[in-house]
Amino acid sequence: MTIATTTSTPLLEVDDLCKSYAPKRGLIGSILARGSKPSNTLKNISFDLGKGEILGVVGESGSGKSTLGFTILGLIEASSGSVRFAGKSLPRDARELRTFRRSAQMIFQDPYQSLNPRFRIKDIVTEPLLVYGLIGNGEVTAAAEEVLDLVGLRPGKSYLERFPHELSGGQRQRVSIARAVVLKPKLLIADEPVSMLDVSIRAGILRLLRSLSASMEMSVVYISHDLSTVRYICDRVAVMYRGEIVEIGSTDQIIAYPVHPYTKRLLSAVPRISFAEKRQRVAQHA
Amino acid sequence: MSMLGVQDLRVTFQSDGKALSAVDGVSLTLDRGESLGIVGESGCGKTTLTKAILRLLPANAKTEGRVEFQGKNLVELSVAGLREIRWQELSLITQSAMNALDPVWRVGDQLIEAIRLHDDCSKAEARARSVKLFDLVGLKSEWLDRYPHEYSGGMKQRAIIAMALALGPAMIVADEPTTALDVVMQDQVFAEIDRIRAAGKTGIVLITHDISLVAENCDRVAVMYAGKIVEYGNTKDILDLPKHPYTIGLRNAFAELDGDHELISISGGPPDLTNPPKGCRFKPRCPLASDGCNREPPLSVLDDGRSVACHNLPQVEAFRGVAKLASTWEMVERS
Repeated sequence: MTIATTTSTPLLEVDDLCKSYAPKRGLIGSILARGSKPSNTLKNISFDLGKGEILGVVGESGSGKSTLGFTILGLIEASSGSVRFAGKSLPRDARELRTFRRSAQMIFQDPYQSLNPRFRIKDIVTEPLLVYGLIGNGEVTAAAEEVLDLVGLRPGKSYLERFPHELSGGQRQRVSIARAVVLKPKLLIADEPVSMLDVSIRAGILRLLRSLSASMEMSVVYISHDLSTVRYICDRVAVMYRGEIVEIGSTDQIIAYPVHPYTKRLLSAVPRISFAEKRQRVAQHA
Repeated sequence: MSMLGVQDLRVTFQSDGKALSAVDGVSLTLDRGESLGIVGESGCGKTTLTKAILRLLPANAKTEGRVEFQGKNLVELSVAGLREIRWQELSLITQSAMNALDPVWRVGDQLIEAIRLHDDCSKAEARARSVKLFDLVGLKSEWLDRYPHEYSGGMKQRAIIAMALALGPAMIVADEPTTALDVVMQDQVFAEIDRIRAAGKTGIVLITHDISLVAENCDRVAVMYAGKIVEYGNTKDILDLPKHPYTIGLRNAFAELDGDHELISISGGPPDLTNPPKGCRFKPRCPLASDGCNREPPLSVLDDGRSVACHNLPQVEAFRGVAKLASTWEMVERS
């Protein structure tokens, strides 16, 4: 496992980020919102992410992990607080956001839903290049081959004309990684990238993300509810609970010496193969 | 005789004029109070096997072999006979079972309806039983009067488990019961399943791709690959010291909190079952494969009682070390 290479200016500085949704209004709204308080989806989130560093964000469903990812990318507007990317505040106007998104990309959980079924693989992975005018139509094939090779779909040539339904889940997830890294982004948000995949191929995807992060000096925010995969890819881990980061530290430290009761509970919920001792479930707190 | 005895079960689908053999000669047993895990990758026939046992397959599937359940052969049982034992004796929890709740009915009313459909009892009696069932799965009785949308995913799945238990079935089949849930919810659901098994009246079949769930919750395990069982026996024996190269691969591909090995991936995927490889079906992905593997390996019983279908068992001990390296499994893909 590589040690975090935090240089003088971190790539990403998240400071006191908050997101809350106002309670619902109107007759139907007030019935549906019966008993609910204004929800704080993100509460005072602060952390730095170094260049080429991989940060895991873990927590149960509804803890705000995905909202955090969307907010960092400016896909959800924060209620307060700031996100600084390469020393600059997140842009607000459309033109600057477009430039920013070129260097910040995302991959999603379900490779069966995130790829357009009517597009050929070569068109899926080169669309970002065409959108940004980085290549002409004549260069699609060569660019597609190169990036497919990069993500381990070799030979890239044999995948060019195929459609997503002809590929397995793992191959499809490699295609969505290719689409994300083809712009050589500085930041990749990976939201549960292996949870829909068979156990037998998860390692390949995790290793690919790690090697791309190292070779391209790309920082990664790896969002997952599963602490056992985090261990194989992340330099540091942030544990989220009800919209807050309750604990953050190096992966080894968090797994071996968890401090916050929620981290302990999360760790205790992971089933183990070892038969040496029966795992003790940590009781759920109220 | 066991409560459930599956003998030489075969399921063939007809599609586009081609025959696809999804389950090919599977035999296994289950008793009350016992739990059996069925593991393997997607597309290895785990779900088809259990659907065949429960007779839930579509019309284009042909099922052969025997499924003896409490003395009846389910493969040949009439529809009326099936209706009598389903839910009462045999119940199923599927991956997306929580979506099976009717959104416009209170959860308690759905449970009461199910109980009264099979048992001739008053509404008040059924309600009292529902309260007990909810208590058993850790839900407060006031939740009986709420609607599904008020529940969290884990709570809905627990309500479904309460329904599966409602009539005290002899056997529960749980097909990826927690895949849609996060680890914390998953842990709560398995705490319930564990309690049911410990009570000793119910046999549980757990289908999953997560071998740690099998390690914690199942007495025995069947590893399936491409429609066949490749290794079958005591969970502890098999997961501590797997013998089939496929089981070894699955074990080393599994991310563990306290694992000490490199994470490997088994290159490639399960074969096209309309045209499976000749001989051993795992051969194209197996680093240990040799020419002998062109013959089909029999499922033979070893000294510790487990069965394994592999020609190269004598080489397995030497293979165990290199099987921990990701490069060992990558080599196969290239060749």
